[in-house]
Amino acid sequence: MIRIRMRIVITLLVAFIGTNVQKTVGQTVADTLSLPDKVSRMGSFATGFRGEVWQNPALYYYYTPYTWTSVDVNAVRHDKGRAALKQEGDNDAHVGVDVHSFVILSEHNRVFGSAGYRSRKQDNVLWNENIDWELVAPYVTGDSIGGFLKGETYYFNGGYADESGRWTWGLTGGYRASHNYRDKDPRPRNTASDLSFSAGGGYRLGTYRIGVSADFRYYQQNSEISFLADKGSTSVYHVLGLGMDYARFAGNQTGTKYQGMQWKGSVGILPADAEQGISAVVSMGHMALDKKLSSANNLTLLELGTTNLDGNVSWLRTSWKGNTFGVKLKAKYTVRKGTENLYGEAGGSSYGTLISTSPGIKIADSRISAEGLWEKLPYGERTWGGAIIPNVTCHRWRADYNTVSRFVHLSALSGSLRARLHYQINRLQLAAEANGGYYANLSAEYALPGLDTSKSSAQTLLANITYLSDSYGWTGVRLQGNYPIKKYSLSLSFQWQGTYYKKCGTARYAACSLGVFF
Amino acid sequence: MKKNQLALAVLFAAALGFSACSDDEGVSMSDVSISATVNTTIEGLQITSGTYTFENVNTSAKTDVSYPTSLIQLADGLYNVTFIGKGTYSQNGTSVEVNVQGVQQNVTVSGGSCKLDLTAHVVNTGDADFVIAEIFLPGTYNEAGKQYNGDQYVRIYNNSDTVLYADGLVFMESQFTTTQKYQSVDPDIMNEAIAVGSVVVVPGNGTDYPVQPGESFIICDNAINHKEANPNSIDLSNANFEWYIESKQDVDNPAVPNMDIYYCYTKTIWILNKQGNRAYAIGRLPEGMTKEQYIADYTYDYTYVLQSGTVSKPQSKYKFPNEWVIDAVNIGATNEWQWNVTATELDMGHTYIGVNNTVAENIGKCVMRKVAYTDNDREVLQDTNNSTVDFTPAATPSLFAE
Repeated sequence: MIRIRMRIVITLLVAFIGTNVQKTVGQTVADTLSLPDKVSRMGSFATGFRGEVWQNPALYYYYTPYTWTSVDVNAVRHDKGRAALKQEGDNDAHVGVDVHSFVILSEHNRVFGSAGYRSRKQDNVLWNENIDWELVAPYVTGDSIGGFLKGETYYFNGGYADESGRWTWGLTGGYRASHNYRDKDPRPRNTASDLSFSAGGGYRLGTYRIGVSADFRYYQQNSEISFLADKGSTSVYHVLGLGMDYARFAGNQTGTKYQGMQWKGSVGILPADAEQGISAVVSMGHMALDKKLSSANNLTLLELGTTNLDGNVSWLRTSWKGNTFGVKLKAKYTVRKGTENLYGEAGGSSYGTLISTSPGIKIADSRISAEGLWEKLPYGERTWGGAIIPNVTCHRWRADYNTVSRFVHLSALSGSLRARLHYQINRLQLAAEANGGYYANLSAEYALPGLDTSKSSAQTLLANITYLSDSYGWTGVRLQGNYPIKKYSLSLSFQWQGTYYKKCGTARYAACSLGVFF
Repeated sequence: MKKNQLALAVLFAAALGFSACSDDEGVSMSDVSISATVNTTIEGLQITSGTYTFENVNTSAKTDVSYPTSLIQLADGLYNVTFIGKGTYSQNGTSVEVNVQGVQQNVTVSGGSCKLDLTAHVVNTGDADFVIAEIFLPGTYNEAGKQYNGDQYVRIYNNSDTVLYADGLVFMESQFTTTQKYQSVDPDIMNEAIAVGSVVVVPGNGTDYPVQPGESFIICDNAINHKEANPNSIDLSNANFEWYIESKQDVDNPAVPNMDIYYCYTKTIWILNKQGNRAYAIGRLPEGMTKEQYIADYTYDYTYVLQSGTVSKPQSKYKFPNEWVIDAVNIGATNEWQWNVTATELDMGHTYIGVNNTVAENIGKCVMRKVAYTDNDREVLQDTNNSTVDFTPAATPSLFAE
């Protein structure tokens, strides 16, 4: 509990430091925009449209030409029913607070940061007793009993960027701490720490800036599953993916540790006027993550290499009438390759020496999307505005486990449309948004030889395949109101979305947020 | 500026192209040369057919190879190899066929090539005798959901077609566990005898306790009606024998004959290994061997070396020669099993209460010998000296099924 309180204190400190810096320094720079205009711009689709190019801390210097801080208290409930990966549970609820700040210290330097806290509860999680599923999957520790998982996350990030002539440089550092647990057998207790640093540089060449960045990340998760009931323990399994588990270490190897390091680099280009012209970024990263059995002398059981390749090209143009047009092409490719370590003859508590390695599961996820944008913000005397974002995405997902001749190959095409209407009544800014789309499965092929369908792990796999290969449509609405009081703008928003699956029923998502922007 | 945009476009295209690349790695394979020879006194015995089964310890996947294949390619890993086959020899000019079996545990396949010379044995050619039909070890839950001890039992079955006498039958539990293999044991007597931690004997003068063909008898710790204390348990008040250690802790039912305790590692209550990670055996002392003589002459003084290299203090237990053994069963959960603690000729395999050594899944389960065939109304149980194939693991105990 003491550690948790310390993290809360640190989180709050970071948030307030950002706020105070803005009060004492940021206001020395003349912000020409009024508070309602800042609110309007920050909430616009165009601001974040260029996407990943902003991850370079040097280029982030140019994110907004004004100082701002936002504080949001938010709550989300996602009732997924059968339309979910079993490892992520069928219901997800969280409440949290997020603070983001971007401060113009002087004409040539910026500081920025964020901090947050989130409390989360997932229900009916099966075959996953870990935290950070998306990071360690499929190499989780799991069992057929599962249940709810309660957890908390704290994070803070801070950065600084400086411009000197044609050159810009920036640094960021961040830390996230998460834990989750269940106070009923089986009782997992997971703690994760995630440390990241990024350094970037930019150089102005004509009307464009070229940026490069390098990121480093160190991740660690400690997990232990205990059984306190008089009935004793049940089996836990070290999942290998596609219904397989590491049979030799099944049973009561309940202590595990994940350790990983990630390197990432990016090259990007951004127009000197960030609101006009073409931007592009390509980034590539690799994370090497080991799963160790802490209850067996930290024996390295599995290795997971995740390679990411992302790129996008976006074009934005704002006309003199205030119409912003944009087009974005985006591609993302992620491949996760597992390696299973094979050990020799066991003796006592020793599992012998590493005799060989075997290639494990390979999961390749690729997406290519095209997105358009039209937006017109309320500005000055104009009391209305609107935005439309059409999107088309091709998605291909392939899981291959060649050593056991199993595979699942999926492909899909989706199309969506988001439309937003802005309206200003005196000082009250209102935004109403509607969205809808359809995700059409194009192909779903799988072969799972040797799968014993009477087993819980097999049933979970088949349920996941049904979910992932399903076609669905969705529709949603979002309403937001902003009202300025002195130097602060209060906001309140509600969001609802329903997703209607062909086979997996209906999933409902609801969120609300109360925020302050200044 | 156009050059910049062109360069970026090229970079972007290259990135997309990367996603189409395939860089699959293959599984490391090794050539394994295999051979099998029979360890027997029968002259001229030759293996004629059979199947090698390679069970991958890491994945439990099995690969079958037909005899007489001598070279195969196998994915690198750790394997337990079993051979089940047939052999023939000539007796007075007539060809006689026998079953042969062999096992080699923890065979490392790696490094491109390796060699496996497997020793097989002729399967049970002697007269049918008593066999261990059932061993119930984990106990039960009481009504409060807590583990209940004392209702363990062993069922011993007359597998012959004649009346056998239980008098003098020895029941024993191994000293070593199947889940902890030592680097070495000095002296290593496994090919001569079983190292035992408990030896108890059915009383009688030789003909006091007849057992009819196809009938069995029950031995247990506490021959009482356990249902009175725990409705989830069983009534063992009709058991045939119990082992009672004179102590404040143990319970004696005077109505049920006590087994003669030759040696027991504990002076309080002997509870059979609940986790199911030891071997159990039955046997007979040779003609004229007395309890006193056995106790005097069959101590086993030894030391062992842990995998860490630590040498144990001198230990003193007992040994039971292999030639006196009638039947032996090695038990060990698959996830923790490391070795058999009896000679291969006694038991070439092992069975288990549960695949994993986890209490909640294993409680209330037993190992049960399979029925090989029925001779009129008499069930003949399978006894090939390979408990992997002779037993049904994780079975429902017969006394619970009643």
